[in-house]
Amino acid sequence: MLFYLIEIVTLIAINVIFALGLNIQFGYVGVLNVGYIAFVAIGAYITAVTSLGNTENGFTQLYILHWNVPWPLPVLFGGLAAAAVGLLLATVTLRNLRADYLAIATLSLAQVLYTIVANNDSLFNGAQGLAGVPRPFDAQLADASQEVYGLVFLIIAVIFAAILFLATRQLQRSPLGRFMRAVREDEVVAESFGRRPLVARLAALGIGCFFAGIGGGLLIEYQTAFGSQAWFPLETFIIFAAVIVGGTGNNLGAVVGAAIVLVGINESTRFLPASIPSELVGPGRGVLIGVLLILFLRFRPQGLLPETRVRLYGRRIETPDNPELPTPPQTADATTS
Amino acid sequence: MHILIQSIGYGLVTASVIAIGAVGLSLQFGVTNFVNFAYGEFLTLGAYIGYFVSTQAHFNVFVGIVAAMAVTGLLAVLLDQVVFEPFIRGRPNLVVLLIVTVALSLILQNLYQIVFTTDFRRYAAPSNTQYSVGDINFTGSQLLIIAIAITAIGALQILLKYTKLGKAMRAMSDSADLAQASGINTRLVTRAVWLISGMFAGIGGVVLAINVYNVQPTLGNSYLFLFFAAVIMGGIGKPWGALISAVVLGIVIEVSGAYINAAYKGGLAFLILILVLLLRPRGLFSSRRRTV
Amino acid sequence: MTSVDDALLAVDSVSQNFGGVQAVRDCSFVVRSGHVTGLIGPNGAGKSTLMEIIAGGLRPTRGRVVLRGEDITGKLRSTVGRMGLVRTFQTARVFPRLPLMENLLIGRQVQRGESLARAWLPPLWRAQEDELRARAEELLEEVGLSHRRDALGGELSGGQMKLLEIARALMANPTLLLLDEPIAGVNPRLVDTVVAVIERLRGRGIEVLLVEHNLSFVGRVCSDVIVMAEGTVLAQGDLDTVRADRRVIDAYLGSA
Repeated sequence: MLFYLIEIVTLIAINVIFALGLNIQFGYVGVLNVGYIAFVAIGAYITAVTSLGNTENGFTQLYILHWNVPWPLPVLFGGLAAAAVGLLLATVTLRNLRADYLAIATLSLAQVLYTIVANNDSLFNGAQGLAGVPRPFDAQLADASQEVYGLVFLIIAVIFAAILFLATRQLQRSPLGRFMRAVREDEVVAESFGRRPLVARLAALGIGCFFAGIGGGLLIEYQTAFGSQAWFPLETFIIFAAVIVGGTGNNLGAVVGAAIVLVGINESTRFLPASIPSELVGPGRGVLIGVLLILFLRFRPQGLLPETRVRLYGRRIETPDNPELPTPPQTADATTS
Repeated sequence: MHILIQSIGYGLVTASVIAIGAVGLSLQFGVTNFVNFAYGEFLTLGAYIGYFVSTQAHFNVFVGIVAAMAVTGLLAVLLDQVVFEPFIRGRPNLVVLLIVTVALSLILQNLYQIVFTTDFRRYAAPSNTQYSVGDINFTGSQLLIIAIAITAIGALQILLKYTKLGKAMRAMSDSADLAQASGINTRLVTRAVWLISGMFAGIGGVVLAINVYNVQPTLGNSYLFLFFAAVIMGGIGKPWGALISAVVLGIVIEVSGAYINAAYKGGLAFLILILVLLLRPRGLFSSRRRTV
Repeated sequence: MTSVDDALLAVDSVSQNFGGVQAVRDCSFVVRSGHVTGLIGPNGAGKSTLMEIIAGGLRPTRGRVVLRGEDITGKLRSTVGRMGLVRTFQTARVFPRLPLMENLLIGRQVQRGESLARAWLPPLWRAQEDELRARAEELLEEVGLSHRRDALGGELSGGQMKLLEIARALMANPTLLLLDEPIAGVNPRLVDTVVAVIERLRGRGIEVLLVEHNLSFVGRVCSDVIVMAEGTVLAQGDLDTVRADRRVIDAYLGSA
């Protein structure tokens, strides 16, 4: 039981990092990264190949780089690599004013990366993926029991999640966060006041993908293995559901959403009656997440914890539960009459 | 040299498959102004219907296509009414609509896994007879695919050019506000567009199944980004542009596939998509000036 | 007559075609310093199109726009904004889900805390932020919205949104303020507030160009009036002079 609890809280912490990153992209600035999970995967793979070195760890596998840099640098490299790919893709696609182009490009990137990684053994050992990834403090804790090591990793994951949570909150309260919200609300107005919306979007994408990469790095270190089946493109939507259910734009909402959706849905299926065939559990979960997303967007678009009005005058004011507030136009239109 | 010519031939077949999907997607994208990420799943459903009608029940391939068109057409209209309509009323939020379509894609794909299982269903080829057209060898099925694409897109072109409905669709594609102002019942036209787009998905699904000989739940989704590439290359809402782009994409994919690892074919298509976004974001055939 | 290059803002032979429809044709005028200038004209005269062109939202088919001697034709909105030309919109565009304070704070263009590196280090921008908040409070007071400071932009009435837009534009310390129908939909009680705000601007070196239908309002605040009809300028001068102009009378009567 204790071990189960340690495991579930560790997974929550990692998933909170995912949700925070997506919240910066989708919640703060309003860009739609449909291939978010691909950036998680980039982080995971890069973390693995910068920490595996030449040690086979009992596995025969092919991969690039073969670095063996001290922890936590591999995780950091994972984050930076994901951010770099995200920025590159965004620079190409976001010069357009259409929000859908980035969505299309990220979805395509995720699908193409997936095919290439799965079919090319020399990059990250093909579809099978990488295993035997070194865990932090492995050498020092070689004799520790599973519970003790689990606890150490839990602390590591929570520290990462806490640091990133505080950073996200600081971003939200900073003028940069305000700039991002302004672009989300009405980019034409933001432009009229001398801003370039592209700057806010690139910043949000870069930061969000960095978070995805960090989370991916921690995930592969926790599981010590990561293969294609771990990042099927539609996995992204579990993270989307977390952000939307929790409350788009609200960091605390991302935490709550991650806990409810990611762990709740994944773990509750354990307690399903045995009469349900196991091959239906996965697809059933997919349908459930999809329905949950649409229902929330329709009937409670602000989520369980609505975006708070950023702390002003020393107190916090909640956004009223008012779904009737007008939504801003999303594409730049040259208004003429 | 022979490989090159033969792969151009296969390219035309692949192009026909992409063209049907891209034209259906482009038409709806142009009129409703949001892209449908569940379109791949529409095709998958069409493929299953075609499989059940033609392979399981041994009806003629065309009966399968008509049945698929009916089912996917109805599905599209139903989804528009029940799911999209409430989001479009008032001031639609593009990002929300996009997520709704992706969520639908997730729902449908997983429903297929539950209802149809993840098994590969072998679609029986309508004709395995070999024909030679010049130096290129085609199977009867491949020629059928090309013929179906030409017929379907030709029929749509006639509809767009010569009927009142078609003209209304083109007007809405240019500017929904102007179309409404000039007395067009935009709600009705939108419904018709979803029907036609859904019917194209039905045709596309069967054709896809014929081309790859099998049906499984992610069949349509794995082609979605090729449709997107053709739609963006051709310019949103321009069926002709989508058609020409599909031909280019199909030939590039198959010709390169003859020389490089098949796994990179998709990568190449992605590269083309990125290049188009970089150089001609409004499509290769766009003459419209960019307003700031 | 002031020349194009000396003027505060000059519109020089600007034409705009929309697929064969000529919204603006060969339009030229100069906005002179020290005046509140009003741009009036019947519906479809091309005023709004011209506003878009001036603010950088639209590149004209022909002609140029010059701001303080610098050609701004077809420049990006953001570039024009940074040159001190700030605008409001015909239908008020406030940030609906942001509180009024945030709506105003966006008005200031150069903010230290908007840099990716500095955003996480509040000591580097706290001083400016405090200063901006104080200024925003003043402006809320000035446009009479202090009592609603906890509201979200989208919760205001149409007229209050218009006032918020003006306040947001003033946060930018503009050199030229473009007001697009500042009292359209504004409650008569609030019109006096708008008049008072505009009048106070004169003393602060902020020039105003406004588009308005309400002629009595134009008469109250504008010392220079430009009349447009069918995409071109008919007359310029004070309200009484242009009212007496034969072509102006024809244009208004013709469109009525």
